[in-house]
Amino acid sequence: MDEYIVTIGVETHIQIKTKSKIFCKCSTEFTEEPNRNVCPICMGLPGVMPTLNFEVVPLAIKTALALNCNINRISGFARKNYFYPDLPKGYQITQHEFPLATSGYMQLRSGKKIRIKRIHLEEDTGKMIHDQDQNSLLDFNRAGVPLMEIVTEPDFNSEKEVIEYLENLQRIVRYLDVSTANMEFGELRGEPNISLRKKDDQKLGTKTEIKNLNSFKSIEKGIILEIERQKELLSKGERIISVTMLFDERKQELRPMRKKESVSEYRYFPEPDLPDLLLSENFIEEIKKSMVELPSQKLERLQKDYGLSFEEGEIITSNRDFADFFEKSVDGVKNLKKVTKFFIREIPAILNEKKIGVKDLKFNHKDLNKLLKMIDEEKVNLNFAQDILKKMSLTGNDPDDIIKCDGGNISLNEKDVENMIIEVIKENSKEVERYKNGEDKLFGFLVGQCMKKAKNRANPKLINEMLKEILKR
Amino acid sequence: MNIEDLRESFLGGKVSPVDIVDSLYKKIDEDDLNDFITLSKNIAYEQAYLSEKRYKKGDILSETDGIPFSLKDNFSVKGLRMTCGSKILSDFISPYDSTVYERLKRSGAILIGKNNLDEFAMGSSNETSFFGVVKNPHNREYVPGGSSGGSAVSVASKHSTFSIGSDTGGSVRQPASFCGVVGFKPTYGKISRYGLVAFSSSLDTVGIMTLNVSDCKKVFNTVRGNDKHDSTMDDHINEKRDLKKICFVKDIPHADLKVIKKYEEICSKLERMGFSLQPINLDFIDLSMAAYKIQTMCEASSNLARYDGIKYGLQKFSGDNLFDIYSKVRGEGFGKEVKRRIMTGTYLLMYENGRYYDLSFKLRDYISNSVDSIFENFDMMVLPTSLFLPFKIGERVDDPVMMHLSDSLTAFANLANVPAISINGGYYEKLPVGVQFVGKRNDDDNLLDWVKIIEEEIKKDG
Repeated sequence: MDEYIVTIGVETHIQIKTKSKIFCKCSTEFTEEPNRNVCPICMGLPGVMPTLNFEVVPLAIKTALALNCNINRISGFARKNYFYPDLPKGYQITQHEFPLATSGYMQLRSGKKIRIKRIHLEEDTGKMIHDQDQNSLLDFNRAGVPLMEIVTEPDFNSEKEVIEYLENLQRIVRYLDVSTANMEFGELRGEPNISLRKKDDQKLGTKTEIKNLNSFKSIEKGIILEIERQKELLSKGERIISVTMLFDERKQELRPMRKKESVSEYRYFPEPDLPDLLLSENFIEEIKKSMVELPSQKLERLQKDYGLSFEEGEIITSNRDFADFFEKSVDGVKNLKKVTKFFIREIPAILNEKKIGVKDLKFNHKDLNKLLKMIDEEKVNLNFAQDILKKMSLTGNDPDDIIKCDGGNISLNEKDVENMIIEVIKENSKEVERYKNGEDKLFGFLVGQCMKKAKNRANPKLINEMLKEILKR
Repeated sequence: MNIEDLRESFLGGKVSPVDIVDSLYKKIDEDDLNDFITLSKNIAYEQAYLSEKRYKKGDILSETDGIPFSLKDNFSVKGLRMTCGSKILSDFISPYDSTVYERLKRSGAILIGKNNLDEFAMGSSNETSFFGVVKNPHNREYVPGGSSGGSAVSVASKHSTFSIGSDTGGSVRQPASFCGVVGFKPTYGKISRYGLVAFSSSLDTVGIMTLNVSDCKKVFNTVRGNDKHDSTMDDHINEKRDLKKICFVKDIPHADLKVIKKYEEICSKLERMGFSLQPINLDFIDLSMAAYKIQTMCEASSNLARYDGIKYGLQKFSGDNLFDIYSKVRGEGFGKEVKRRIMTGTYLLMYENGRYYDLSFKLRDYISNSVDSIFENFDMMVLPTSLFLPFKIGERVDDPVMMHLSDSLTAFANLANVPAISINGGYYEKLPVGVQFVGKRNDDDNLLDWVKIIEEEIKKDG
């Protein structure tokens, strides 16, 4: 079965985060109430005209620059004509012949470059919903929400590569504050097109497209299923027909949606109601200057500056706010190795549990920095620090206050520790006896008992040393 | 009455805006020419009442305060029906104001109603309207021209002092010629198209129909100027200069000899006024008709796609499937001529035929360059507005080819994007004959000034 080469290209629609829609003044804010954010323009009433909301332009350019594209100084809008109830005008305003940006690339972990064919601006359609009584309902809140479509060349050879590309893309547009890019809300929609060919064939096979993929998981599953389907057909000697496959999330299966429309059926022509979009070199330069550090750049820098592993770096840079939080929190902290795990495990766990972002945490980077420095100075051990962190996340109190509430000083003084150890020895005389008779491994047990008694408030190093000393007596 | 006279009577207290509105509605009813689809009586009386108060107090808003006007029924007015002369929109109430109406309302002018028109402005005789043909006031058996036929008739019959029409290939100038009034098509981008229902967006212009050129200037000054809703505008205007050189067209194929005769009379009149007329050739006319047809039909097929019976307009919710619903609504809602153009346009835009649309742009460039080169040597061009006189109702309904010839002397001005105006050049057997003056791009103000003088000269001779 391994005789086929899989070729995949990806079209991605990303909603651009602007206050108002792309061709009118309606709000883009999500609302449950259907047809609330609509006006004559986005409803396509007779006689209305679109005017470009320029807010979308710099945001799209930023994305294009992040993907190493050429920004076209002249681009233009066009009409894509087709009938569907969720399309108010009977055509979608998009860019066709003259897109905003062309010929970029994204480098994958393996070093492979995925070529970006084009990035263009367009308007989103409304939504058609089918209710239980088989009525079709229309909601035009989404109609006219700005989109950019990012089209790759057919450069992927596996679903893994596609997922990596899309994850990177999501990270990039979030870093640039261009989009919230949540797949489950349709803010980022990836549509792979897939074809198979025999190893010695030069020509690409007939491709099919998959739609309705609302998560990375679905995309992965969808691609795998489609590759299987095509393999099976080809091995039976059948031909692949160009279709759009619909992914059924519930049943986890693909079914053909409709025969793929060819370009001719869209009857593209230049949009006469909008002038060309002309951009000056100066304007593009200004945007270049205002670019923030991209995820890949940040990852590389954090690895270098903080000695993070690639995997640690990936987790920490998965989100721009989180990466910033990390950098601020570890400022001046010496023993980075020791505290990094807080950013890999503990803090992500808190965020996940509460389903919040780092900005919504009850404590700030200053408090965390204090705590991390306490670890540095061995004032608290890691276990105790974890407790404190948990309490910080619940109460928002500063670590000093938490320690005070928890029973005075950070650590018990030597005298207290000594007394405590003597107590432990008394309580565990049998084990002490056995230890003294050569059962070395019981030392650990005794340390544990001391720690338990100290409720994490004693420096483990101190316990270790003192216990050894006292046992020698 | 024209704007100037009407204002004088308002100022002198001889007559009030409310009186005028009363008498107009009476006359519209009596004349029964079918020039209106909707009368806006509520709006008119309210606006007239307010205007009357302003005249009494002496704080008059503008030159057009209290002046009754009408809009071709493809301009949007909030709360009023906008049919575009089509069954598919016969019950459509618009929820917003077009920019043109907005500006006129602000100037204090009074909206009398919405004028009849060829369906979606596609036609040259007003016979394609779902609301029936409009009668030419000069002879009720004759067509008023189109597509702004209702507008021309309402001005000619003094049902409104001026009317706003739309001109995509001659739709304001040709009916002006047929009804003996003034029809002005400015340079593209001088008047906002926001709220004008699109026929062919790259050629559609807002036109003005009045009793004389002086009124036309006043209305133009009220409605012109950039609009945040229309990003295809450009308010650049050429500097004022004197009219010196005029050119005329020597051979006009297909033209009715009666039209030519009148045209020659006007030309000699211009010569008597001291202008030397030089002949030019309009050998791009045939090409202009090809470009015009391809472009308008392609754009129309897309512009009219929104009338699908889903959100507004004619609705048919019984059907086996979506396609069924679409076919029913559009099959029943559109008239023959509109369907013909949508189908041709759709066909022309299909991939295999896409080059036709591209080609039409090349042709358009060629025509534009040809017209520009004429205006390198001349200030103004004079030519007939229409190849023929008004014809009888029903005479040419089933002859689309002959019908399309109607635009041949006017469409090039839209393609080349230059201003043009038709004024009455006299009568032939009691039917009006128009004469057209075409100016250089952005020469709108100059053209109006020059033609105003010529109009006075023509009127002098009677």
